[in-house]
Amino acid sequence: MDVFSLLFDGIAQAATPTTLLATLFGVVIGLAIGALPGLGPTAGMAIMLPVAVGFGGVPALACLAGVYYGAMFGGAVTSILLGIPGDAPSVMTVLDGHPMAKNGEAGRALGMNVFASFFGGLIGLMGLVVLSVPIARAALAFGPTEMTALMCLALSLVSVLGGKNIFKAFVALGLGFWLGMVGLDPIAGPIRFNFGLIELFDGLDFAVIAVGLFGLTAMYTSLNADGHKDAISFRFSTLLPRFRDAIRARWVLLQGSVTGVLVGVLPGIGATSATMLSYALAKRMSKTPERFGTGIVEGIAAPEAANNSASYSSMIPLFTLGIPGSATTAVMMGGLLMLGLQPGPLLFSANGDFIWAVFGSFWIGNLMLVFLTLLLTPFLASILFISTSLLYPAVFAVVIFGVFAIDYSMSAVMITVLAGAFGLLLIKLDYPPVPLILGLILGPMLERNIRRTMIQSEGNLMVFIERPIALFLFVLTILVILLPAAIRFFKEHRKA
Amino acid sequence: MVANRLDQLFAVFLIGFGGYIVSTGFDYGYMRDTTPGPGYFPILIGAAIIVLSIVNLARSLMRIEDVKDTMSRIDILKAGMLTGLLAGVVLLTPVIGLMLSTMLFMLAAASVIRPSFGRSFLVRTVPICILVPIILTYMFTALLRVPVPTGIFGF
Repeated sequence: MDVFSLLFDGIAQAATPTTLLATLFGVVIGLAIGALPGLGPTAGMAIMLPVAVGFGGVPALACLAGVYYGAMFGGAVTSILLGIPGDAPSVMTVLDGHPMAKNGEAGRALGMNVFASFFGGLIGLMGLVVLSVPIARAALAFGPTEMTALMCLALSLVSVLGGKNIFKAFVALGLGFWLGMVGLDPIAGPIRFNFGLIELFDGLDFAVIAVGLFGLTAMYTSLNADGHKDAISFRFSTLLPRFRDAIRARWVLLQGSVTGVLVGVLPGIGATSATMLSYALAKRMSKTPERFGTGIVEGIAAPEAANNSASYSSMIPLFTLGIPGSATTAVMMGGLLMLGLQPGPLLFSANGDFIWAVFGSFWIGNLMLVFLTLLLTPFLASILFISTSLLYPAVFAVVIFGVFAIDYSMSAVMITVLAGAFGLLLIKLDYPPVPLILGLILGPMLERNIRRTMIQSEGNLMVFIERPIALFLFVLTILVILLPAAIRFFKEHRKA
Repeated sequence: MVANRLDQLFAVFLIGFGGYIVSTGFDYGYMRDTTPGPGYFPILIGAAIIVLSIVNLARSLMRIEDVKDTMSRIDILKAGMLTGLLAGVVLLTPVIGLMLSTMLFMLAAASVIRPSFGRSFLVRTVPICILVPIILTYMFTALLRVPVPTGIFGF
């Protein structure tokens, strides 16, 4: 059966009342969270993870994905209306979106955002559908040795995601590894690093840490996000999109969407890089590049199409290889694991129906988002006027109930609280939290695969370079680590 | 300046923490015959944390790394108080139940985030702080079948 038949079956399976309701719930919550300054899709998904998992099965992932692309759109709303990016991938949208809003064209800007999000989402979904199966099939040839090499490649992306101080990024990764070791050793049996606490016997739940590290920390660092009383006022009628804008920017939309697919599929690169690249390309290809930054629809079309396209294609490495390429997909991976599913090559053969139904729910959700965004944008914008002293206590309450629901334990809430405080310390000292989460998720897999390989090879380390796929992946790993340093060196050399 | 000193102290803490991971790793066992034991990975990771933290400490002492004070002291104090209040929820829940402890937390958190006890506090904040935990309790108990902890008052 070809992928499109599978997809149509998936759409039919996803069109159940429960899945539709879960998608709607996720999209609305995502839109609201995305519109909050400081809280992006990662924090939103982390906060909603325990609640979404409560839905179970396809509706759980449909809800999580709804939060994801809903927050992506919501972030752009604040970028356009207030010049405040709701999250990192919305930064480029500020450049032209906010000037348009200041020029009294908030409706056109928001309308272009809707078109670009929808178009980019469709192309991204197409990439997800077409590329997932071949990648998953190829990945079936992977044994523990290849998986070890693949995990190393995924972890080498810390050099890309790690921020300005790579040493601190790797320390954060190490701390994530250590957190992943807490609990029962999966191969030899002893309980490690549980400090005598029975609550840590089964290890640390990823969601419990992620909610604290991303959700609580994001709120702590934006306690003073009030005071946008100078926001642009607009009427509902001004929110209606102009179709001719979309036709005028069609090539930019296509370029942004394709860029989003290609960049988003690379683990660790993420939607933010895709938006920057897409904006730069649109400007370079434009006949009037000087107009970029002054408030033109093409300046919104390029980054927003890339943003939404990349948000779907970034799920390809997650579903097919089990590699979360970004913090957001790491949270999504947490959702899959909590549902008892192991992302990776076997996911498509063991849970094919489930995955295609999930993909089907993404298509439905993307369509739902268009209608919802047109109707809800005025209300979303009004969230910005709610004081943090009203809003954040309510969000904290959702976190408390949600984390408790993970394993019906207040100890989990305490761990989240500690993770939040630790996350604040990390951010204050410039330690990026994303590598820590990567370490927590990928660390146990890496350890398991290294030890399995060594058991199979009876301690012979040469096995890692004797297998061609593993060797290729290790070489790629070294390149990923060395490339940023080499580029920096050549840039400095050229300047000198 | 304070942030840099904190950065250095944290690096020193991590060096010690890495040492703890390594020594505990040896207790678990580095190798079992020809294959890695439960302590294999902890020893490698602990050693890496030590080495990288020494590099970070050296960079900070040599002023190669400069950590900026990005948050005001008041914001840090507020974040600390909110952390304490959240911990308070954990301690209070077995006594008065999750719904009531969350209500108290929300009132206290609202006061910490924006200290103001005027009319708007009574009219807007108090009703929200009462309603949200009730709605959440209903949602989690009735819809998601989560056994939300109750206290001495029976709710």
